[in-house]
Amino acid sequence: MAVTKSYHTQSWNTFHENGPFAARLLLSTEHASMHTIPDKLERYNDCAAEVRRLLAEALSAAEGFRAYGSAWSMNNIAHHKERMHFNAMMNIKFEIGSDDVVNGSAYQSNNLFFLECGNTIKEISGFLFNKGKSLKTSGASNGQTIAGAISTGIHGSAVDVGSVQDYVVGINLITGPGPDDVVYLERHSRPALKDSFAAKIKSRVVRNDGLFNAALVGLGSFGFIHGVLIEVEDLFLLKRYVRHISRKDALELSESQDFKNSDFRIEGETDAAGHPLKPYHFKVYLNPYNEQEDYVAEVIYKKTYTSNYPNPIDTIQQALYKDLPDFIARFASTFNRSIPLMLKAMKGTLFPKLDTEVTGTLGEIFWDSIHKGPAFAFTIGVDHSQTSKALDLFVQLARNEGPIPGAMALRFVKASEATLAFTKFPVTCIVEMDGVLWKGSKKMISIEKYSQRLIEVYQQAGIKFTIHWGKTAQWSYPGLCDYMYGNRKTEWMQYRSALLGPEVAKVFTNDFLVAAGLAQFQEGIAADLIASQSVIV
Amino acid sequence: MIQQSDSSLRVSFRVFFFHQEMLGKACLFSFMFFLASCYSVRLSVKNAAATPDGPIATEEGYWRNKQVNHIDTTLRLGLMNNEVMYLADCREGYHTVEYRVSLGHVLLNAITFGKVRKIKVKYACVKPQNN
Ligand SMILES: Cc1cc2nc3c(=O)[nH]c(=O)nc-3n(C[C@H](O)[C@H](O)[C@H](O)COP(=O)(O)OP(=O)(O)OC[C@H]3O[C@@H](n4cnc5c(N)ncnc54)[C@H](O)[C@@H]3O)c2cc1C
Repeated sequence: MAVTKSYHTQSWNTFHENGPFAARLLLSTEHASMHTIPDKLERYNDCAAEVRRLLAEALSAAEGFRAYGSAWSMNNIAHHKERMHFNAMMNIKFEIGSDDVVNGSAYQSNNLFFLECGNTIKEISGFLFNKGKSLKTSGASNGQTIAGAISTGIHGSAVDVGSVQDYVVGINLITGPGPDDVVYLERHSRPALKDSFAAKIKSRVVRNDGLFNAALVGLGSFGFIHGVLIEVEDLFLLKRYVRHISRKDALELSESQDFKNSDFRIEGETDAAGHPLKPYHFKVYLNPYNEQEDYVAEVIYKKTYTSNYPNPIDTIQQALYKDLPDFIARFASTFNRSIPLMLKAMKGTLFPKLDTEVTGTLGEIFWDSIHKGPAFAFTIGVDHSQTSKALDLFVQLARNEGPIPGAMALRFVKASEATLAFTKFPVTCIVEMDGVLWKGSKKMISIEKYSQRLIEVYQQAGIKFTIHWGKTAQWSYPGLCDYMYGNRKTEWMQYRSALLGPEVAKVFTNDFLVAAGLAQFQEGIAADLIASQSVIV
Repeated sequence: MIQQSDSSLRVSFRVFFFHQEMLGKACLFSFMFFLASCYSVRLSVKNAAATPDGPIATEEGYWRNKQVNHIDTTLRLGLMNNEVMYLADCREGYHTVEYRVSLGHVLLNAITFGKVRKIKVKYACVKPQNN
């Protein structure tokens, strides 16, 4: 039998110490040992029963319950003051046989894997590597759990790929204590697995595009995600270059995404006519406090896999421009994390040297991130055509009302179908600043005030924007989610209310959801909103 | 007279500077010795995740989110015995092993002619894959 350990505590914190937040009971469920239940499907179902039992306890105590993964989100989205559940030890992985796939499905069985919620990106990449497969994209590093990653909608900068949730094709949710509360969700327009698979994981099947898209970026509030079905692809290599790029070229490329006709080119990465190729990944680093300093571009091209390439890990470990939090933490550590010294230095050169070229798999290029103390991250999504305007507003605010101790980057992500994905624009430009968490004073703006000013400045300029759900923001800013998502906000709340019902919806509500104005239960929703629909193949 | 005293003054200054230089060098040397004799070596696997440290992260830096185990002991070695073995309960192997040597360890080793050794090892296991 799966075992849940209880830890009584007074506070809990995130990976980057964005709390502490008051907490009372932390739970962690581990599978039955393999010799007790050798069959992994049975162990998976046994764990589902344990989660149902925990939900029954939360319901009868009239308390909240929140699952969390690696606690990498940099706000209180993963927190609940009553009951929290740490999922990391729930990490079974299943291959999918051709017998399990719906006839006429768009998916090939050998590209489908069913993963339990606590599998981290690193674990999944390692597992897939041994099958000759790869994830399509990830964030800049690899510590997130798969359920945590999709619940906030994490992204890298793979310009034509999308975010992590965009390769999820099925979700196994636990929405209450009863056997009927285990649901296997898919899109009816793109079904993948037969009902017989759902029967194996003791789930009732719901095929419904609207419900699926709402649950996909569920903010931890759409029930307990027990497992997800993902689509992967054949193993590939990524060749990574880091180059200086002028502000002009960087912004032109950001807004046009027209790599072919750009002046920015990397030798060897051109087509037969000599035009630059479109990269797999394009990311720009910039120093908000020194206008004269060139930007730095991380440009990555996709290559056919061959096992014959040098071990990239040493180079990647030493690389400066692989992950913005890492970059700024290293920079800060050279000043012993002294904010005044850091800010003074940033007026000079922030990008003195570039990384050497390196080739590796996705799992190797987007490598481990090392914790180096408390950190913040502002991550704003805008339509890529608005890049210059959005960036300039951010930089002006940092200069005029700051300075604040952070460096900036731009990333680009294709639109997601998830109802509340912050990557909602056809191509979303992610304008981000990562830095060392600071305390406000008479001389320095506080992080709370700065978060508020960011929203005000963007709204006053009439820019449509979104904010990464797992990052720093003033989530209680009045009308923020209405501004960002319009009708999609109500749609998301309606699906959530219809699926969970009032009691369970309360269990899966936390302070974050309330602050963001997403918690209100929607009465009187027609039952057919969440009914399974006939499949389209 | 003045010259004499001046030159003796110069001599004593030179001696003083010489002493100071020596002292400086000695300090630098001991500092470097201290630094050199306080180091750690970390061995880690490439393609596996570490067992997480439970619902509350207590570690910092490299070890954050990893469940850390310690071996911190002092050993008396016999003349014929210069091997020690520890069995750790890592179901799927070691993820990281860090061996640390400090000045105190080196001194203890020297004073006891290698008979008493301080062992300070930190390690994390590979996260069980449940597969
Ligand atoms: C070093 C670092 C680098 C980062 N890099 C990037 C990046 O490149 N791109 C990017 O987009 N983001 C990035 N982030 C942000 C981070 O990836 C996201 O916030 C992500 O959601 C964290 O995943 P997690 O597993 O830690 O989830 P948590 O932070 O623990 O939880 C996130 C949400 O998922 C919910 N959740 C978790 N498990 C379940 C479950 N089983 N059922 C239901 N809900 C669940 C939680 O309740 C919470 O709402 C980074 C963060 C850090 C610290």
